[in-house]
Amino acid sequence: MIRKKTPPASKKKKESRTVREKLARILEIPEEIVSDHPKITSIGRKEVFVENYKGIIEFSNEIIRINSNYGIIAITGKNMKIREITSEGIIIYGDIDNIDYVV
Amino acid sequence: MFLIRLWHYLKGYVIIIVSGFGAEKFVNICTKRQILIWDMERLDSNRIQMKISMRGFKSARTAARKSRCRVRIKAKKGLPWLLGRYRKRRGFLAGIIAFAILIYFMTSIILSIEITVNTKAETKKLVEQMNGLGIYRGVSKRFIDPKRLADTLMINNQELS
Repeated sequence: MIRKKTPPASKKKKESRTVREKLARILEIPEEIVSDHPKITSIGRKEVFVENYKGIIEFSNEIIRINSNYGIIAITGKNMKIREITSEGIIIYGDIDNIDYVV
Repeated sequence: MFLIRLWHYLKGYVIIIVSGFGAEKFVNICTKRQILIWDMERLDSNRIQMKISMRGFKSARTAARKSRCRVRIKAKKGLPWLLGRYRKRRGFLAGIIAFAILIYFMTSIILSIEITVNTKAETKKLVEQMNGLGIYRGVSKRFIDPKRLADTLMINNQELS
C-alpha cells in the first residue's frame, strides 16, 4: 500500500536530482543539505535522530518503522518512545538494538 | 530540555490518547501540518499516548477524522488552562494585584526610626536633626541618600563615629 503511493520516479526528476548533486559537489555544499536522503544520528544506544524522513509506518515500544526516500528504516529495541516528532525529524529514545534498512 | 518543557508549559498542551488502526497516519498528518507532537508512547496494541500543543490540538480534529481514529483527552496541562479556570474569579486576581501593590508600597516607605545611643538626650537631638534633613515616619525611601545623610550627621555631631 505504501509502495503504491510513491509515484514512479520519472526521468525528468531523476535527471534534475543528478544535476543538483553535481552542483552541490562543485559548490562544495554538504550533500545532506541538498539531497533528500535520510540522515540518521545516534547518540550512544539511547537516542536516535532521523532527519529527512517521509512518515512513520509503525510505532510500538519494540519497533519503529520510518518511511524515507531510501526505503524503510526499521529501528528495533526496548521501551522506545518518540520524544519529539516534527516535519524535519524524529527523536527516538529508548534501549536501541538495531537500526536497519528494509529494502 | 528544561527550557523546552517550560516553553510547552507556558503555551499549554494536551495529553491525548489516540486509538485505532490509523494512529500512525494521524501522527503523519499532524506533522505534515507543522503540529508539534512529543513524548509519544504506545500503551497497548491500538492506543498511543502523546502530547500535543494546544494550538495544534484544535486543528488535529480533522486529522483524526481523516485517519479514522478516536482521540480522547487524558489531561490538559499548562498555564493557559490554569488561567482559564480562574478567569471567572475576578476577586482572586484583584487580591493578587492588591497584595503586590501593598508589598511594594509598604517596603518603600520608612515605618520606624530606631536610634541606639547611650543617653536619652542624644536620641532626641539626633531625631530632631534627622527631621530637619527630611527623615520622618512615612517618607518614601526613594528621596533619601543614605551616604549623604551619614556624612552630614557625622559632621554635625563630633561624638558620632
